[in-house]
Amino acid sequence: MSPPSTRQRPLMIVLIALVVTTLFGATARAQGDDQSEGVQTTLRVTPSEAGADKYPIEGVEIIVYEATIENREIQSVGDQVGTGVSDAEGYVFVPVPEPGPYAVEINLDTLPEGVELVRADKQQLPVEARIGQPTTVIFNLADSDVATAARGKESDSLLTRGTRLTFEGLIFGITIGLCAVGLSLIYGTTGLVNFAHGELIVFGAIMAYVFNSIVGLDLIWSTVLAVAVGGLFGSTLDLVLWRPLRRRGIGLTAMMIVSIGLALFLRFLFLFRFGERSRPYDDYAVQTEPFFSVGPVDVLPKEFVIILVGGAILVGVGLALQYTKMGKAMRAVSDSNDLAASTGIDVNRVVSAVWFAGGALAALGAIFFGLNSQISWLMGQQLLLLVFAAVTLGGLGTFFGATVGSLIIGVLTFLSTLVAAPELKNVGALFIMIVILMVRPQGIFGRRERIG
Amino acid sequence: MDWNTIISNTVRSGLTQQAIIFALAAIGLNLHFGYTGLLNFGQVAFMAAGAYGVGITTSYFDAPLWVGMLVGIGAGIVLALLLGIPTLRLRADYLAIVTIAVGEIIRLSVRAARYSWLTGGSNGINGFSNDFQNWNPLNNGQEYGFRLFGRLNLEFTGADLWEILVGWTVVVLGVLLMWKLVRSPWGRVLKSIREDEDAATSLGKNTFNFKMQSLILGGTFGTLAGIYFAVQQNSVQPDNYATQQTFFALTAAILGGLATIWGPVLGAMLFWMVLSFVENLLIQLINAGIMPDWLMTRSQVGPVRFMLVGLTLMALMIWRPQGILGDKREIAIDVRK
Repeated sequence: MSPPSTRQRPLMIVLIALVVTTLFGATARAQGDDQSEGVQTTLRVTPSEAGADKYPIEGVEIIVYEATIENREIQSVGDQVGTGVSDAEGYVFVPVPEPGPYAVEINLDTLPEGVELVRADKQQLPVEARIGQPTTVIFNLADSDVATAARGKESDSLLTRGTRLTFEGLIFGITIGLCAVGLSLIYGTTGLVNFAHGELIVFGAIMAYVFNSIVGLDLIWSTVLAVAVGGLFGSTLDLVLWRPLRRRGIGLTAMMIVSIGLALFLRFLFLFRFGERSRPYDDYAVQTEPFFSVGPVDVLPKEFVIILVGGAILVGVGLALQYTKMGKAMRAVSDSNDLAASTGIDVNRVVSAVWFAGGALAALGAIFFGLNSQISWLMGQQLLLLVFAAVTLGGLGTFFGATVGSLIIGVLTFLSTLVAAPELKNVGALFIMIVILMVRPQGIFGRRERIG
Repeated sequence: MDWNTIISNTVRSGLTQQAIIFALAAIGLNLHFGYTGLLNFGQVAFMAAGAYGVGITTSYFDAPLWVGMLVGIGAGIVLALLLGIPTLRLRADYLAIVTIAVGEIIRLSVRAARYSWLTGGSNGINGFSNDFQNWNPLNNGQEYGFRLFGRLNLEFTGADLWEILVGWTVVVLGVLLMWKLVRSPWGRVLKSIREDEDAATSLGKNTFNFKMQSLILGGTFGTLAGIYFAVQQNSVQPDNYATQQTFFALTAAILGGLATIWGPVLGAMLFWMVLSFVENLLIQLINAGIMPDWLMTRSQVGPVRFMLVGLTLMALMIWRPQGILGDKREIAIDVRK
């Protein structure tokens, strides 16, 4: 988390130039490229005998339709695009004319006797076909008795569903928390309500995508690189934009509006280079086998990693703020710029470090989000409001508030689907934020003075 | 390169419906931000309230169009009260975050499949304002041509011309109202709140009430923009009410000049003229083969225009916050003390 000092500046410029050329060159190539788009699946059945391997089934028909998809749910189904029949390995490939949203249907009449779809409502699956490569869908098939048992699990009690949703909500909360800590620290040290934080999120997500899908690195290495590049992006923004503006003594409201302008510029730049489609990461995005189970909760390997790494980093940032020299300096600058400066703290260096941390954490949050969902140019805008909700809930400008606020918002967002439509889950979180502002405007952990 | 087309399209978009919609929204934002110092980042919520007010009243409840318009305005006033009561006592940036959140709450709710029986979900509501064209004294289908500066040809259908005439009439009436109001004692209280709220309070003014009145009136202009948008399109689409619309209107208001009477109107006209100019120019460059394919394709022209909006907003705020017509001393860019 050390800030790029003046000596490192040439290195930084080289790195940024590298990133920019990768981003621009590579996505342009991806757009021109146009070969075997299609949908693939391997039909394998979970057998009755415990411990036995899944077995493939042959001769099952798969049908692909044009469709519109929203939030990974099929909205409407159009013309049939193609069909395919599974081979001896259970493999089917159905080519599609162009990348985009499709609905993939399994023809239940062609299933052998005694094999069932575990969830009857999953006969059609949504898929975003990618450019130049097959996109995989998975049908969850099982022998009849296993399927029946699994179905019992689906209609579980409120408590069981609540437990699972709480778990998913915690993961989502960690994701938002990583983004919220940066926003909150930036606010604390500079007073800026950074509306462009959503674009720091998208930048990190896209960088990881570029390293992963275009350069071809494993997602783990892509994440490390994207987090570093995201941090550099943050401190570069501070260096070329915010620091000169602070030096001019520009007002905080004006800075906030500048950040809106920056957000619009970056958002449409991402749309310009990255296109409108949502994309998943190549690695680890599709996982079905749980790593382990706790009660009713199946923990996927990627979820385990998110909790472990994300949680450790949040705790680490908290400890660093409490005990390291730089962390103490950050808190001192948050309390009072002038007092901190008069005790010999280099305020600009501290703020630069805060921006580095903000960009890096936002990138990590974005990649975690992308693992469970897809990345797109709009994801920052959608996450930003939840991040605001989390930060407001916990109390603007405090680390602890941002983290706890994020976990609460994450869990409440997912639990709200118990009573409300899933498409409205963000509405609940935003609503909570407004209620909190009415009853306790300084947030749960905020100090009274901060509401001014 | 067909400069005649580029320029006549540019002039046209400064005069037509979109400029009118943004002029109305920007007049409201100007009252909020320019005169009172309130950071309303959810003007689009008022637009949506107006648009859905008309759409739902006329299509679901089968009421006449003018009733729908009144309901739309009423919905905007209720929204202003709901927004204002919890936030107007708080610091300015809280109002900003709450208003932007409410805009998004409304958009997500009206596009939800669950409420599509009422709001039409993501398809919106269509075909409810045929009456508006029936009131048209002009011949709907006929083309009306105008010649500007001896060489620019502008042609409007009777339907378009009717919409434009009604729209600009509303804008001019709104501007006259603003002109009267900001010179009144009421307007002076608003400005004093912008400059120093504590001072206004210490002079015995109930600043909460004044801020609420400003929020309601400015919001009503947003509502009118939404109603006009809906009626003129004969359609309400949820995704036309995304958060960035507020920021486009804000850019227009700042461009023209905050805390001026004509600034928002001038800004809205210029905003769409510049967007249209850039779009037409780029498309011609692409069609003529001057713009290489790897740099920009036709579908990328849209994003480029809005990147430009972002840059403009930044540049204005950094170098010329008073815009074209404004006075730097009157700009409330430091509401938060």
